[in-house]
Amino acid sequence: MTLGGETLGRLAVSVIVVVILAAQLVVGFVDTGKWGWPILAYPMYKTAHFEGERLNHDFASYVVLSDSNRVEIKRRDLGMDFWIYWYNVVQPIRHGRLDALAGLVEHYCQELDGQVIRLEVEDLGIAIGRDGPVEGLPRQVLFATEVSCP
Amino acid sequence: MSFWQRYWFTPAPCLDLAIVRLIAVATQLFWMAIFASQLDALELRAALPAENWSPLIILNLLNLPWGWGFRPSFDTLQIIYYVSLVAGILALIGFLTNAALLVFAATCVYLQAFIHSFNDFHHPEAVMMVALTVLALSPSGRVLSLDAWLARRRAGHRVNDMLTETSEFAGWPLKLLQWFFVLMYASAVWSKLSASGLDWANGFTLQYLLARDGLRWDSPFAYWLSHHHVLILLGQYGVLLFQATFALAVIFPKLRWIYVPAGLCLHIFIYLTLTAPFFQWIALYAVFIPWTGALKRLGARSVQMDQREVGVR
Repeated sequence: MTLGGETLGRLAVSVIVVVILAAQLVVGFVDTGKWGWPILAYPMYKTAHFEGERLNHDFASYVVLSDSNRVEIKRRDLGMDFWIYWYNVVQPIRHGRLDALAGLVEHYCQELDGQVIRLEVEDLGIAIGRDGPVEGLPRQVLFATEVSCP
Repeated sequence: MSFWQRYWFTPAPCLDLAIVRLIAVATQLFWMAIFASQLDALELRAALPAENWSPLIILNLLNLPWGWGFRPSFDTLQIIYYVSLVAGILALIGFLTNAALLVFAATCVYLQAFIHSFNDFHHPEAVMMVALTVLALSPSGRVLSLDAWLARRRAGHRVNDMLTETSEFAGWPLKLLQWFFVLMYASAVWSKLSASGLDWANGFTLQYLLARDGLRWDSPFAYWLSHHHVLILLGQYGVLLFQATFALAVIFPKLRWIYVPAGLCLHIFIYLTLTAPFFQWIALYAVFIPWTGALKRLGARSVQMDQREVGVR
């Protein structure tokens, strides 16, 4: 490398250092979600939890029919691991994102003769206590969204 | 300006950089090929319906020649995956090191960005992508590489003292990654305190997470630990203190004797209990270790021991 080349190299490295660290500084404190990946905020486990709070270690999801009967949506039948299921079934039901649920609704509408009116997500009836998890509590419906067959 | 020059461009040992290259590339290869079974993850996601496709910006940018929002097929991903593996192996042995690292970094970013483009999203991989990219732009193959061996052979030199080889461009990638760690931990502690305040460290937060993840990922140790409120309460204050003050480990290198083991223990504990595999972070703690200095000291000590043995005889 010539002297000019070295100076240019230092300048290029300085720009890279400033851009990467400045981007991480800004994104780290102003969480932009996943969009800036691989420059990210790190809000993992940020939410405080309190005594008596229900554990959301897993969920049971149901298709509710017009006669109020319920059919369980089994994760294994969908070929999804926990996180894919969480982001593509549980979260869309929570936020009523019908576009993300279109394929699922269509599948169950065909299978259940067009009687599907709602999707629900339930917890499994466990809460945290001072001495550890408290099991056997009645299950609660956490999220629900109204749907209709196409 | 002179401080900036001194801080980032003081000649630094090439061996430190080369060891970080070896550790980073080996970890990423292990992650792709074994731990995360990336090919299976790619196949699973490639088969998901269109409504689940939500490409990251960086993936859209890399795919720009094929149009914004382009979704590659599994066949294409498989080719990229194998190109990535070959580039990774070349980067590991140090043959055409910078070019191999550049291809490895780019393909790793592409594949990981694809995996994160289905609303399923995790944090451990990001810093490794940054690390591979900056290593590709540095003299990380100057020693401990086939390139170095070939260059010495061409020049007719038989011996090369790796411990004395320095470059003014050998320090910045390690320092950059050290500060990157500081910013990641600062973001983590800021997120906790801004979202929950000091309530975050109430003991129940980590009890809840341990019980939840213990059940979710079938971890009996985490589930057992979730029964010990006081112990966990103290641990939570420890985490806040560690993350909030991590910059001290960069500013005062002697404190790394405390922060590096503490950080390694923290991430190993998180893996054993919450099953969050931050292997990349554990591996990249290598940027805090003065490898050359340690090896020199070890060498000096073994010479002293030899001399002592000769004296005894």
